[in-house]
Amino acid sequence: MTGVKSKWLRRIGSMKLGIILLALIALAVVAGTVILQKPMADPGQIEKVYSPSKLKVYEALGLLDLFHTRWFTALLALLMVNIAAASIMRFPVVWREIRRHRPPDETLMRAMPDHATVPAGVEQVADALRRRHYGVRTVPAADGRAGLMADRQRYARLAPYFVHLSLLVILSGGVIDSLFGYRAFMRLGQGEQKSTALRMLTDDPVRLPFAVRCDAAGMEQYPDGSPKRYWSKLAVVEDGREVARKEMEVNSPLVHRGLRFFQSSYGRSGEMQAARLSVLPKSREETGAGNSPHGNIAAAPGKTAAGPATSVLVSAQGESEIPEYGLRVRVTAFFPDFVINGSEIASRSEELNNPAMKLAVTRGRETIPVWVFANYPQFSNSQKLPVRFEFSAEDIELGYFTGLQVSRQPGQWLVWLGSTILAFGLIWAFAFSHRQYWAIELPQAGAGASCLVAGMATKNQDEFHEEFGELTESLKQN
Amino acid sequence: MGRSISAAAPMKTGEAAAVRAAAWPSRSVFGFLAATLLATASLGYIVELPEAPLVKLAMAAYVAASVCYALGLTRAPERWLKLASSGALVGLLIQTTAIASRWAVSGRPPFSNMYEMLLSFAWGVVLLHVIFERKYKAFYSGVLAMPVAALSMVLMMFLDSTVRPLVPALQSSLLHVHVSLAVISYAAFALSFGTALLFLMRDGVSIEAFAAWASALAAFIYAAILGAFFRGGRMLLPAWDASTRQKIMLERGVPIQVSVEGLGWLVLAGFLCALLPAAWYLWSGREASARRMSLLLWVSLAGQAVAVVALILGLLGGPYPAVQPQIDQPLLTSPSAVPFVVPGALAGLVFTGLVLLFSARYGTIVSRLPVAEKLDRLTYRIIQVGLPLLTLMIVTGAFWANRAWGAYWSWDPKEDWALITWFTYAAYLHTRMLKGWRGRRSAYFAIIGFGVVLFTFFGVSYLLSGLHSYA
Repeated sequence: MTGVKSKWLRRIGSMKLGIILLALIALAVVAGTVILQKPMADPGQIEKVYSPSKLKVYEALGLLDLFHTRWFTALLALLMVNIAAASIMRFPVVWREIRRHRPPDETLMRAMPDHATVPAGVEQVADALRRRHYGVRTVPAADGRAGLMADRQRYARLAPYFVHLSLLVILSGGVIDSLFGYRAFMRLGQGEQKSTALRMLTDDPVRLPFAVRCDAAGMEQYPDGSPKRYWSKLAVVEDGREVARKEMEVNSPLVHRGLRFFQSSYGRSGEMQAARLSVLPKSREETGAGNSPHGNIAAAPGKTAAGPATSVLVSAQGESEIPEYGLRVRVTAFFPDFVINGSEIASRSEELNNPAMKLAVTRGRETIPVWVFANYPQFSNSQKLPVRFEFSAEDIELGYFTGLQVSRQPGQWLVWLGSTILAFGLIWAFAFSHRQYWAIELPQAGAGASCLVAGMATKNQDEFHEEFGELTESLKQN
Repeated sequence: MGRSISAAAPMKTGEAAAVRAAAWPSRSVFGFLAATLLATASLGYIVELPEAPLVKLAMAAYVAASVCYALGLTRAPERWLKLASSGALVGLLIQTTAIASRWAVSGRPPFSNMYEMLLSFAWGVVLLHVIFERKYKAFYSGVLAMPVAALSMVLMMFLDSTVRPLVPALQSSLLHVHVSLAVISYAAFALSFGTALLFLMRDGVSIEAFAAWASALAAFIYAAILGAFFRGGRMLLPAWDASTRQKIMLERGVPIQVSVEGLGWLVLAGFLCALLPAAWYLWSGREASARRMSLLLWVSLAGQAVAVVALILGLLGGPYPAVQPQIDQPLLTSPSAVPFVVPGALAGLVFTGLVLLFSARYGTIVSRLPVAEKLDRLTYRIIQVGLPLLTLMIVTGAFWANRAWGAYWSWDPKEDWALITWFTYAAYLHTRMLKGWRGRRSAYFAIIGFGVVLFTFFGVSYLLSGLHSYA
């Protein structure tokens, strides 16, 4: 590595830069939690809370969707570079330390906080260390005296690198997801099938590689009325064939070809699923021409009947028969809140305020259109028919829609891989330390052998100190 | 090794007393706890144990233990520490029983709202303290751990304790993993906060400086209360419906406010009294005389006591006129309508009281603590345990969010603050391992870290809105 390169590497990988970046990111994150963020805020909430001038400033700085701005991404990228550079820079030093087996050196040993003289030979020290699961090498000192070096958890020195590597893996997963992933929303009515979703925030359509059909959706409540469960029965349709099925609920998404579907919302759709219509026979007079609609109010249904009063169940699809009268009924339109805007018929809301349906009644070869209003039965008439239809809001079963969140996160596996390494790496880094011992034979002063023992640990010195005490104590008692 | 550590020799008498105190009572804390838990859990199916009185009893035990630890440090250590240690253990057993009975009633561990989180948090703090006290013969961790636990229990008294069924998003076994990790890591950080403070004491930070800090903290709490509710001598407080135990809302997110006349002045007086020691400390150029400081602490304590009593009486009293002119019926308010106010004010009172208690025999107390270096390393060690737990909490949270919300990271305020907490402790470790920071600078870092933890725990839930709306 050339000098210039290593100088730059040192600068980019410096801890000072790392801490500054951490602080800047932390500051940005704080701002992002204090200022309302578009992805989190209710629609219209931001405009309500901030004044227009403030809004302009925030908008210009991207503070309203801070976590997706370029500058925030740049900060994260810089942090990645910093971590990578720091690891590259320090790794060779640590690797050399791992490969090295330092011979005992009396001066160095006496400088270590944990050292002691024991009345034992090098061999006895070696045995004691082996009993404590140390890897022992007999290495003579530089002056030729007998000595040893022993160590444990040598590779614990690598743990910090695994931790930092894992952070890079997690962040790269995040980068992949922000570049190639998306989150979108899809609203499906019962029986509806769709292969497009709308991107969150932008509402741009996203084409999915397959279609999703909702067969049923519903919710369950606790006795106190709070929601207990939301569920949707979904089917995945590829090339017109159903390839997968799942009853999805919150906490149990549907996963298919890298796309995940989540239960996000649920509600009444305003579309009619089924309804029960009363079929009331008209009196002979009513069947005659020229009746004003108001006349019907006076005519008590079924009183001057030409046939029995009955009812028919109609659904959104298909025809229903009324055998008593030889009629077939089909619903061609339904409006939960009927209103006429100029010349256009529309629904004011999705509430059942003024439900109306248009029926196509087939009698023999003739198909007769007829409007039926729940609130205005007097208008629900066709002179061509022998019966009148009536219904009320309670007779209508509305369809439900299920709101699905669609997310594509191709980088998530990197995130999980990185998280796993991170968790184990941290435990490894904190729970284990590289512990080293050296022993060297001392010149014979009196009777028997004596040794200088010294040791150190990269971390958790207190525990090492305790172990050192126990070890030397046991050697002294021999 | 440490640069700013004063080289003080360990005081043999204090340590010996501590060892004796810690070795008592019996050894099998874990076994006993597990047995209690099992017994009550199985008993809960037969006889429904009353949770609320048990929680109150545990709270009383923790308050008593707090007092005993404080007295143990100032007076005859053996007797008081023995009492304190057993008080903590008895409280822990009672609280374990309370948790088990709640668990039996609701069919799940108590992790799903702020009340339950606090119940678990206080339990975690005391459990860690009991283990810590035995493992490291560290009686002194109780001096701050027990007040933290006691204050958490006091706060719980003002929160809704109804057992409610789980909303769909929380129906996952990951809830238990994620939240228990959160609770244990927060508890570990609470303990590291305690040892960091004790380190500062041992390292020669004067009691006057502590008095100033305690006073600044209390003043800050009062400033927050005043900022939120003080309007020209009156306090504008949310109206409370006692029957539903909920605030009365004008519209979504906007509660009806009632006006309590005069209370604002008393709280303002409390604020000024609380601020006195800190102001004096700054003004006198940090050479505040001990006698003057002690007098000011008494004034601060008295002023705060008056403010706390006024706040409690004011919140319990009423009915008061509503601020909104269209509502002409007087309404009630409640300490539960503003759950952080009374416990916050009490926290200020407790810290001022502790400083006052310590100030009398500060030298003796300091000499009973272990060497500064040991406290420094203990703080480091606890953070080394807390950080992996915090990491696992965030990772399991991300994994769960990916199943429930559709993305592993949504930049939700709780997520953001958990990340900031993680950054803080990561920076603590880096400055320590690579820059060789030891002693005071590290201790300040650990204290700030716990402040961030507290904000993540409470501040986010009550001040910021987001996906984590349950707790």
